[in-house]
Amino acid sequence: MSSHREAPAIAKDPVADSTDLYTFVSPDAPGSVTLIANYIPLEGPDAGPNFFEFGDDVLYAIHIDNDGDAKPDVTYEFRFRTQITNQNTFLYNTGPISTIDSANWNRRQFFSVTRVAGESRTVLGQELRCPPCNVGPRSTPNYAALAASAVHNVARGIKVFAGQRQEGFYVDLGSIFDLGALRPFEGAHLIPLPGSMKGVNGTKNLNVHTIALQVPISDLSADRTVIGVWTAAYRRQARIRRDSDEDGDGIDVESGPWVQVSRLGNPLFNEVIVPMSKKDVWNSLPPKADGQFLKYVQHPELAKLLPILYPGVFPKLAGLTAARDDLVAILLTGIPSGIIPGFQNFTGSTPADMLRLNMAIGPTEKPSILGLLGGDAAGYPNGRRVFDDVVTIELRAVAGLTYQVVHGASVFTADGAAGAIYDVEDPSTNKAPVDYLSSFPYLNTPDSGFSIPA
Amino acid sequence: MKDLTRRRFLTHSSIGVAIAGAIALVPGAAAALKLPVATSKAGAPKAIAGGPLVAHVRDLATGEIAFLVGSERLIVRDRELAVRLHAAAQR
Repeated sequence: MSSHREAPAIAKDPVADSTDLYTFVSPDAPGSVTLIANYIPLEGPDAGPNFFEFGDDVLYAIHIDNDGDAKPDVTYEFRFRTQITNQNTFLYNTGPISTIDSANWNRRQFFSVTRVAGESRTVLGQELRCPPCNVGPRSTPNYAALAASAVHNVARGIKVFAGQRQEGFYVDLGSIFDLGALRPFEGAHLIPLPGSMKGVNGTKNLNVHTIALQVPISDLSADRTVIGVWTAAYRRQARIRRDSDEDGDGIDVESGPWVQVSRLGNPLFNEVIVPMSKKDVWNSLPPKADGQFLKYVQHPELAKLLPILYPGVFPKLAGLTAARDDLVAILLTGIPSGIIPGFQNFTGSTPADMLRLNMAIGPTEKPSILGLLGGDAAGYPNGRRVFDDVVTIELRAVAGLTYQVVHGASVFTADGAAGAIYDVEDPSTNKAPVDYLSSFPYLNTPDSGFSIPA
Repeated sequence: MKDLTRRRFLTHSSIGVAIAGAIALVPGAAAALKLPVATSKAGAPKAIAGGPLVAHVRDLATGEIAFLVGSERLIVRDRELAVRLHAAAQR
């Protein structure tokens, strides 16, 4: 998955597990950038009575580097508070939740958002309401309008939302981790299965929890056009669980500094670039420490596996032993000018996994879900939009397509399969297998527990 | 020390609170106690508010103790204190 359960430790801590990060110039408000960080992977919509929620004990952050040193210059911090209004019921709601302040809603969450820039901390909003989860037509009728009332306008011209959304990331999860199988190319696999199968979106009908901001470009950088973005979640260093034999207050004790437990910049970085033995360490480190992972980008394991898993399909990739400076540019430094005419999102030589966005490139009228590979400079890896087919883009890049782009066909010509492979649906249709909203927060209304599973 | 449970010791230790509080709030106290200056993760000592305090004896041999209080981590090297804490925990 993009970053869902991507490391052993965080897989056991879903509330703090970042799953996807999106950053793009807002198509309907091009003077702003939308930042979206998703948490809590693979939410089954029918999760009652304890529906999913953010962690009151987690500090969520979206960091922005605007000077290329891979350190945060602007950070938006989110903290949550949960309130039970009726102490005498086991129910999430005791009647329809028709409005966001409905007395029928028993377990509700509020949040604060704080902008941090150097030593300056500005509370942009507090006691902001999250929407409830989408329970079903009796409990949360007219859910779309209910959730829309949880979009808040706060200080500095910023729009913010925190709550449940439909999963927007798509991947054939069951296939890709069955020895790298791509269903549409089953016959070419080392262990072939008969026929060609249609890809399956493994995250269909699942939800996530979304933190979304729409921020004026001037709030992110005063003078630079390229920013690097990552999200991280933190927990207190010490937690002592309550013990009813010893202490009757019933409250866990937490103390000490915030410790990073989850991180996400580019999709799939920790998932498929970093070895399993180092994934937990990677989650604890800041992007500026990513130099130690450079070798895994230069010589990715997946590039060595593809020619083995698909015998005879990737002979040119098998012969490509040079360090993959194309992947280093995409994932760790940004793409310098001079490689793709009229485009760059280079942040400097410091290798750091950040989602890089050139904010001077406006939204495309007819976007390609293949982003830059599809000739659309407003898409991944120039930031990332909700509909970008990042699995296919990264598969094709690792398979050698971007090495050819960087060095030219006279130096390296990628295998034909590098430009043809895909995961869920053939991207030549330019149609993502998920629906999205055309305006903030762009990710779709979550599936309801009543409707899913059908 | 009949009522000294592990939890209460860790969270409300009068020894820990007194010493960590003295380090943070009283100028020169660290020197008077023959302790190296306690520093927070950020570097400079900071005032400690009320609330839980967790003491983590990280190395009994060197006396390195981490005090976790508020959002700070204060590192102290005091073998005598570390030994006293260790002994108290074994009662």
